[in-house]
Amino acid sequence: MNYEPVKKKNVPYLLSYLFVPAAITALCFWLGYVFFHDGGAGAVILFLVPPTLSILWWVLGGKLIFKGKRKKLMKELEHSGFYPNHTFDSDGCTVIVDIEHGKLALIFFWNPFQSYILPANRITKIWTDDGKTGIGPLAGSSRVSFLFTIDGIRIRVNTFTSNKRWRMDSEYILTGISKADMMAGVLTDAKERSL
Amino acid sequence: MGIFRKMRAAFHDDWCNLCQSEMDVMHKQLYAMPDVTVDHYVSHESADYYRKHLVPVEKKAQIPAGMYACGFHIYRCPNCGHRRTKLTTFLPVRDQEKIEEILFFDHGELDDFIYQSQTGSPDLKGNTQKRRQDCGDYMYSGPYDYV
Repeated sequence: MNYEPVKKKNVPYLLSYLFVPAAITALCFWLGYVFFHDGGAGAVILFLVPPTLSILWWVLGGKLIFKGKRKKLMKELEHSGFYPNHTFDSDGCTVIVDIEHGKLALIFFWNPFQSYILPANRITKIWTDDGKTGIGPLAGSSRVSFLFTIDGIRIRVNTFTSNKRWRMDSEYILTGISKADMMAGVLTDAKERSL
Repeated sequence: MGIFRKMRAAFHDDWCNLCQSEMDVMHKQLYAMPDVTVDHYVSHESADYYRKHLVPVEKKAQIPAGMYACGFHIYRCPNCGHRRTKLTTFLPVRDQEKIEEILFFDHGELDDFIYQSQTGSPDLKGNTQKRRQDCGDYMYSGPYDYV
Protein backbone atom coordinates (compact mmCIF):
# COMPACT_ATOMS: atom_id res chain seq x y z
CA MET A 1 0.00 0.00 0.00
CA ASN A 2 1.39 3.43 -0.96
CA TYR A 3 0.91 6.38 1.32
CA GLU A 4 2.90 8.95 -0.66
CA PRO A 5 1.04 11.48 -2.83
CA VAL A 6 0.11 10.33 -6.33
CA LYS A 7 2.35 11.69 -9.09
CA LYS A 8 0.82 11.61 -12.55
CA LYS A 9 3.97 12.76 -14.34
CA ASN A 10 7.61 11.87 -13.84
CA VAL A 11 9.17 15.08 -15.19
CA PRO A 12 12.73 13.72 -15.80
CA TYR A 13 11.26 10.74 -17.70
CA LEU A 14 8.96 13.02 -19.74
CA LEU A 15 11.79 15.42 -20.63
CA SER A 16 14.27 12.65 -21.47
CA TYR A 17 11.61 10.85 -23.50
CA LEU A 18 11.14 13.97 -25.61
CA PHE A 19 14.59 15.53 -25.75
CA VAL A 20 17.20 12.72 -25.54
CA PRO A 21 16.35 11.31 -29.02
CA ALA A 22 16.26 14.87 -30.39
CA ALA A 23 19.67 15.61 -28.81
CA ILE A 24 21.19 12.36 -30.18
CA THR A 25 19.79 13.14 -33.63
CA ALA A 26 21.23 16.68 -33.51
CA LEU A 27 24.61 15.31 -32.39
CA CYS A 28 24.62 12.78 -35.26
CA PHE A 29 23.73 15.54 -37.73
CA TRP A 30 26.63 17.63 -36.43
CA LEU A 31 29.03 14.64 -36.65
CA GLY A 32 27.82 13.92 -40.16
CA TYR A 33 28.31 17.52 -41.18
CA VAL A 34 31.81 17.73 -39.66
CA PHE A 35 33.26 14.33 -40.60
CA PHE A 36 31.33 13.36 -43.72
CA HIS A 37 30.93 16.73 -45.37
CA ASP A 38 31.42 15.20 -48.83
CA GLY A 39 28.85 12.43 -48.35
CA GLY A 40 29.38 8.66 -48.31
CA ALA A 41 28.04 5.76 -46.28
CA GLY A 42 28.87 7.44 -42.95
CA ALA A 43 26.81 10.48 -43.88
CA VAL A 44 23.85 8.33 -44.91
CA ILE A 45 23.96 6.44 -41.60
CA LEU A 46 24.32 9.58 -39.48
CA PHE A 47 21.63 11.55 -41.29
CA LEU A 48 19.09 8.75 -41.77
CA VAL A 49 19.27 6.26 -38.89
CA PRO A 50 19.00 8.54 -35.80
CA PRO A 51 15.89 10.45 -36.99
CA THR A 52 14.18 7.19 -38.00
CA LEU A 53 14.95 5.60 -34.63
CA SER A 54 13.81 8.76 -32.83
CA ILE A 55 10.46 8.77 -34.59
CA LEU A 56 9.99 5.07 -33.85
CA TRP A 57 10.85 5.75 -30.20
CA TRP A 58 8.37 8.64 -29.92
CA VAL A 59 5.60 6.63 -31.58
CA LEU A 60 6.13 3.24 -29.94
CA GLY A 61 8.61 3.53 -27.06
CA GLY A 62 6.26 5.00 -24.46
CA LYS A 63 3.48 2.59 -25.32
CA LEU A 64 5.79 -0.42 -25.02
CA ILE A 65 7.20 0.73 -21.66
CA PHE A 66 3.70 1.46 -20.31
CA LYS A 67 2.36 -1.90 -21.53
CA GLY A 68 5.28 -3.79 -19.98
CA LYS A 69 4.97 -2.00 -16.64
CA ARG A 70 1.20 -2.54 -16.60
CA LYS A 71 1.71 -6.28 -17.16
CA LYS A 72 4.27 -6.37 -14.35
CA LEU A 73 1.89 -4.51 -12.02
CA MET A 74 -0.90 -7.00 -12.77
CA LYS A 75 1.43 -9.89 -11.86
CA GLU A 76 2.48 -8.17 -8.62
CA LEU A 77 -1.16 -7.55 -7.70
CA GLU A 78 -2.02 -11.23 -8.23
CA HIS A 79 0.67 -12.22 -5.74
CA SER A 80 -0.20 -9.56 -3.17
CA GLY A 81 -3.81 -10.70 -2.67
CA PHE A 82 -5.30 -7.80 -4.61
CA TYR A 83 -8.28 -9.08 -6.59
CA PRO A 84 -8.65 -7.07 -9.83
CA ASN A 85 -12.44 -6.97 -10.19
CA HIS A 86 -12.37 -4.24 -12.75
CA THR A 87 -9.49 -3.01 -14.91
CA PHE A 88 -9.84 0.05 -17.10
CA ASP A 89 -7.10 0.88 -19.61
CA SER A 90 -6.95 4.34 -21.06
CA ASP A 91 -4.41 6.35 -23.02
CA GLY A 92 -3.04 8.18 -19.97
CA CYS A 93 -3.51 5.71 -17.14
CA THR A 94 -4.76 2.32 -16.03
CA VAL A 95 -7.13 1.98 -13.09
CA ILE A 96 -7.50 -1.40 -11.37
CA VAL A 97 -10.18 -1.74 -8.71
CA ASP A 98 -10.57 -4.40 -6.03
CA ILE A 99 -14.17 -3.77 -4.98
CA GLU A 100 -14.24 -6.44 -2.28
CA HIS A 101 -11.27 -5.09 -0.34
CA GLY A 102 -11.92 -1.45 -1.26
CA LYS A 103 -8.55 -0.96 -2.93
CA LEU A 104 -7.34 0.79 -6.02
CA ALA A 105 -4.19 0.42 -8.15
CA LEU A 106 -2.99 3.10 -10.55
CA ILE A 107 -0.25 3.39 -13.14
CA PHE A 108 0.29 6.42 -15.37
CA PHE A 109 1.64 6.66 -18.92
CA TRP A 110 4.03 9.49 -18.02
CA ASN A 111 5.10 7.84 -14.74
CA PRO A 112 5.32 4.16 -15.65
CA PHE A 113 8.10 3.26 -13.20
CA GLN A 114 5.92 4.04 -10.16
CA SER A 115 2.63 2.27 -9.49
CA TYR A 116 0.24 3.10 -6.66
CA ILE A 117 -1.89 0.76 -4.56
CA LEU A 118 -4.21 2.80 -2.38
CA PRO A 119 -7.22 2.32 -0.12
CA ALA A 120 -10.26 3.59 -2.03
CA ASN A 121 -11.27 5.80 0.88
CA ARG A 122 -8.52 8.21 -0.21
CA ILE A 123 -10.79 9.14 -3.13
CA THR A 124 -12.55 12.35 -2.24
CA LYS A 125 -14.72 12.99 -5.29
CA ILE A 126 -15.88 10.88 -8.28
CA TRP A 127 -17.69 12.23 -11.31
CA THR A 128 -18.10 11.83 -15.06
CA ASP A 129 -17.53 14.44 -17.74
CA ASP A 130 -19.36 13.99 -21.03
CA GLY A 131 -17.41 16.89 -22.60
CA LYS A 132 -20.61 18.43 -23.93
CA THR A 133 -20.30 21.78 -25.66
CA GLY A 134 -22.89 23.70 -27.65
CA ILE A 135 -26.63 23.76 -27.20
CA GLY A 136 -29.66 22.18 -28.84
CA PRO A 137 -28.94 20.48 -32.15
CA LEU A 138 -25.34 21.77 -32.10
CA ALA A 139 -24.50 19.96 -28.86
CA GLY A 140 -21.60 17.55 -29.23
CA SER A 141 -18.45 16.18 -27.67
CA SER A 142 -15.06 14.81 -28.60
CA ARG A 143 -14.08 13.45 -25.20
CA VAL A 144 -15.85 11.50 -22.47
CA SER A 145 -14.11 10.64 -19.22
CA PHE A 146 -14.52 9.77 -15.58
CA LEU A 147 -12.61 11.72 -12.98
CA PHE A 148 -11.71 11.29 -9.36
CA THR A 149 -9.56 13.12 -6.87
CA ILE A 150 -7.03 11.50 -4.57
CA ASP A 151 -5.66 13.81 -1.86
CA GLY A 152 -6.81 16.75 -3.97
CA ILE A 153 -5.05 15.53 -7.14
CA ARG A 154 -7.48 15.24 -10.02
CA ILE A 155 -7.15 12.11 -12.18
CA ARG A 156 -8.93 12.03 -15.53
CA VAL A 157 -9.43 8.73 -17.34
CA ASN A 158 -10.75 9.01 -20.89
CA THR A 159 -13.37 6.49 -22.00
CA PHE A 160 -13.69 8.03 -25.46
CA THR A 161 -11.55 10.50 -27.41
CA SER A 162 -11.68 11.67 -30.99
CA ASN A 163 -10.29 14.39 -33.23
CA LYS A 164 -13.83 14.88 -34.47
CA ARG A 165 -16.84 16.25 -32.59
CA TRP A 166 -19.71 13.79 -32.32
CA ARG A 167 -23.40 14.36 -31.61
CA MET A 168 -24.42 13.59 -28.03
CA ASP A 169 -26.69 10.77 -29.21
CA SER A 170 -24.01 9.10 -31.37
CA GLU A 171 -23.12 5.54 -30.42
CA TYR A 172 -19.50 6.48 -29.58
CA ILE A 173 -20.56 9.15 -27.10
CA LEU A 174 -23.28 6.97 -25.56
CA THR A 175 -20.82 4.07 -25.15
CA GLY A 176 -18.25 6.44 -23.62
CA ILE A 177 -20.81 7.87 -21.16
CA SER A 178 -21.95 4.37 -20.23
CA LYS A 179 -18.37 3.24 -19.52
CA ALA A 180 -17.65 6.40 -17.53
CA ASP A 181 -20.82 6.04 -15.44
CA MET A 182 -20.03 2.35 -14.89
CA MET A 183 -16.49 3.10 -13.69
CA ALA A 184 -17.74 5.92 -11.45
CA GLY A 185 -20.12 3.36 -9.92
CA VAL A 186 -17.30 0.82 -9.47
CA LEU A 187 -15.10 3.40 -7.72
CA THR A 188 -18.00 4.49 -5.51
CA ASP A 189 -18.63 0.84 -4.51
CA ALA A 190 -14.95 0.34 -3.69
CA LYS A 191 -14.90 3.56 -1.66
CA GLU A 192 -17.96 2.50 0.32
CA ARG A 193 -16.41 -0.88 1.13
CA SER A 194 -13.14 0.75 2.10
CA LEU A 195 -14.72 2.92 4.84
CA MET B 1 -54.65 -1.92 -50.41
CA GLY B 2 -52.41 -4.98 -50.60
CA ILE B 3 -49.00 -3.99 -51.88
CA PHE B 4 -48.79 -0.48 -50.37
CA ARG B 5 -50.03 -1.61 -46.99
CA LYS B 6 -47.51 -4.48 -47.03
CA MET B 7 -44.74 -2.01 -47.83
CA ARG B 8 -45.85 0.28 -45.00
CA ALA B 9 -46.12 -2.69 -42.64
CA ALA B 10 -42.42 -3.37 -43.18
CA PHE B 11 -41.69 -0.11 -41.34
CA HIS B 12 -44.14 -0.69 -38.47
CA ASP B 13 -43.13 -3.21 -35.85
CA ASP B 14 -46.59 -3.13 -34.32
CA TRP B 15 -48.41 -4.09 -37.51
CA CYS B 16 -49.43 -7.70 -38.07
CA ASN B 17 -47.11 -9.43 -40.52
CA LEU B 18 -49.99 -11.64 -41.74
CA CYS B 19 -52.92 -9.23 -42.27
CA GLN B 20 -51.09 -5.85 -41.88
CA SER B 21 -53.50 -4.58 -39.21
CA GLU B 22 -52.29 -2.53 -36.29
CA MET B 23 -51.77 -4.85 -33.34
CA ASP B 24 -52.65 -4.26 -29.69
CA VAL B 25 -49.98 -4.32 -27.01
CA MET B 26 -50.98 -7.08 -24.58
CA HIS B 27 -48.03 -6.92 -22.22
CA LYS B 28 -44.77 -5.03 -21.72
CA GLN B 29 -41.86 -6.01 -19.52
CA LEU B 30 -38.35 -4.70 -18.92
CA TYR B 31 -35.42 -7.00 -18.09
CA ALA B 32 -31.79 -6.48 -17.14
CA MET B 33 -29.06 -8.53 -18.79
CA PRO B 34 -26.46 -8.85 -15.98
CA ASP B 35 -24.09 -10.93 -18.11
CA VAL B 36 -23.83 -8.35 -20.87
CA THR B 37 -21.99 -5.11 -20.24
CA VAL B 38 -20.96 -2.15 -22.36
CA ASP B 39 -18.44 -3.06 -25.09
CA HIS B 40 -19.08 -6.78 -24.56
CA TYR B 41 -22.35 -7.18 -26.42
CA VAL B 42 -22.84 -10.47 -28.24
CA SER B 43 -25.89 -11.09 -30.38
CA HIS B 44 -28.12 -14.06 -29.44
CA GLU B 45 -31.13 -15.18 -31.42
CA SER B 46 -32.15 -18.19 -29.37
CA ALA B 47 -35.13 -17.80 -27.03
CA ASP B 48 -33.38 -20.19 -24.59
CA TYR B 49 -30.59 -17.70 -24.03
CA TYR B 50 -33.04 -14.98 -22.99
CA ARG B 51 -34.99 -17.42 -20.80
CA LYS B 52 -31.82 -18.21 -18.81
CA HIS B 53 -30.11 -14.83 -18.61
CA LEU B 54 -32.74 -12.16 -18.05
CA VAL B 55 -33.68 -10.61 -14.72
CA PRO B 56 -37.03 -8.79 -14.59
CA VAL B 57 -36.98 -5.21 -13.30
CA GLU B 58 -39.67 -2.61 -12.79
CA LYS B 59 -37.91 0.45 -14.16
CA LYS B 60 -34.75 1.46 -16.01
CA ALA B 61 -33.34 3.19 -12.94
CA GLN B 62 -32.84 -0.25 -11.31
CA ILE B 63 -30.35 -1.26 -14.01
CA PRO B 64 -26.74 -0.32 -13.10
CA ALA B 65 -24.74 1.85 -15.53
CA GLY B 66 -23.00 -0.14 -18.24
CA MET B 67 -25.42 -3.08 -18.10
CA TYR B 68 -27.55 -4.00 -21.08
CA ALA B 69 -31.34 -4.18 -20.87
CA CYS B 70 -34.02 -5.88 -22.84
CA GLY B 71 -37.62 -4.83 -23.45
CA PHE B 72 -40.44 -7.22 -24.35
CA HIS B 73 -43.64 -6.19 -26.13
CA ILE B 74 -46.30 -8.82 -26.70
CA TYR B 75 -48.64 -7.89 -29.52
CA ARG B 76 -51.92 -9.46 -30.59
CA CYS B 77 -53.69 -8.74 -33.85
CA PRO B 78 -57.37 -7.85 -33.29
CA ASN B 79 -58.25 -9.10 -36.81
CA CYS B 80 -56.58 -12.48 -37.16
CA GLY B 81 -55.55 -13.18 -33.55
CA HIS B 82 -51.86 -13.58 -34.52
CA ARG B 83 -49.47 -13.06 -31.60
CA ARG B 84 -45.98 -11.67 -31.86
CA THR B 85 -43.29 -10.91 -29.29
CA LYS B 86 -40.86 -8.10 -29.96
CA LEU B 87 -37.57 -8.15 -28.05
CA THR B 88 -35.39 -5.05 -28.07
CA THR B 89 -31.90 -5.22 -26.60
CA PHE B 90 -30.42 -1.87 -25.73
CA LEU B 91 -27.88 -0.12 -23.56
CA PRO B 92 -29.58 2.38 -21.24
CA VAL B 93 -27.45 5.53 -21.03
CA ARG B 94 -28.94 8.11 -18.68
CA ASP B 95 -32.17 9.21 -20.41
CA GLN B 96 -31.24 7.67 -23.77
CA GLU B 97 -31.05 4.19 -25.23
CA LYS B 98 -28.47 2.74 -27.60
CA ILE B 99 -30.45 0.06 -29.41
CA GLU B 100 -28.43 -3.00 -30.45
CA GLU B 101 -30.92 -5.42 -31.87
CA ILE B 102 -34.64 -6.05 -32.39
CA LEU B 103 -35.86 -9.64 -32.60
CA PHE B 104 -39.32 -11.07 -33.21
CA PHE B 105 -40.72 -14.33 -31.90
CA ASP B 106 -43.89 -15.40 -33.72
CA HIS B 107 -44.50 -18.79 -32.15
CA GLY B 108 -44.87 -17.91 -28.47
CA GLU B 109 -41.38 -19.18 -27.60
CA LEU B 110 -41.09 -16.81 -24.64
CA ASP B 111 -44.70 -16.61 -23.43
CA ASP B 112 -44.28 -18.92 -20.43
CA PHE B 113 -41.15 -17.07 -19.37
CA ILE B 114 -42.69 -13.60 -19.63
CA TYR B 115 -45.85 -14.42 -17.69
CA GLN B 116 -44.02 -16.38 -14.97
CA SER B 117 -41.24 -13.91 -14.25
CA GLN B 118 -41.75 -11.80 -11.15
CA THR B 119 -40.34 -8.33 -10.80
CA GLY B 120 -38.89 -7.19 -7.52
CA SER B 121 -35.66 -5.68 -6.33
CA PRO B 122 -33.06 -8.05 -7.74
CA ASP B 123 -29.38 -7.76 -6.86
CA LEU B 124 -27.87 -6.74 -10.17
CA LYS B 125 -24.39 -5.94 -8.89
CA GLY B 126 -23.50 -9.59 -9.42
CA ASN B 127 -20.76 -11.45 -7.62
CA THR B 128 -17.61 -9.58 -6.74
CA GLN B 129 -15.40 -12.48 -7.85
CA LYS B 130 -15.95 -11.61 -11.48
CA ARG B 131 -13.11 -9.98 -13.45
CA ARG B 132 -13.86 -7.34 -16.01
CA GLN B 133 -11.51 -5.53 -18.33
CA ASP B 134 -12.48 -2.46 -20.34
CA CYS B 135 -10.61 0.16 -22.26
CA GLY B 136 -11.10 3.62 -23.67
CA ASP B 137 -12.06 4.07 -27.33
CA TYR B 138 -10.25 6.30 -29.80
CA MET B 139 -11.82 7.46 -33.01
CA TYR B 140 -9.34 9.36 -35.14
CA SER B 141 -10.47 10.26 -38.63
CA GLY B 142 -8.35 11.50 -41.49
CA PRO B 143 -9.36 14.47 -43.66
CA TYR B 144 -11.23 12.21 -46.10
CA ASP B 145 -13.27 10.39 -43.43
CA TYR B 146 -15.60 13.34 -42.89
CA VAL B 147 -19.01 12.80 -44.39
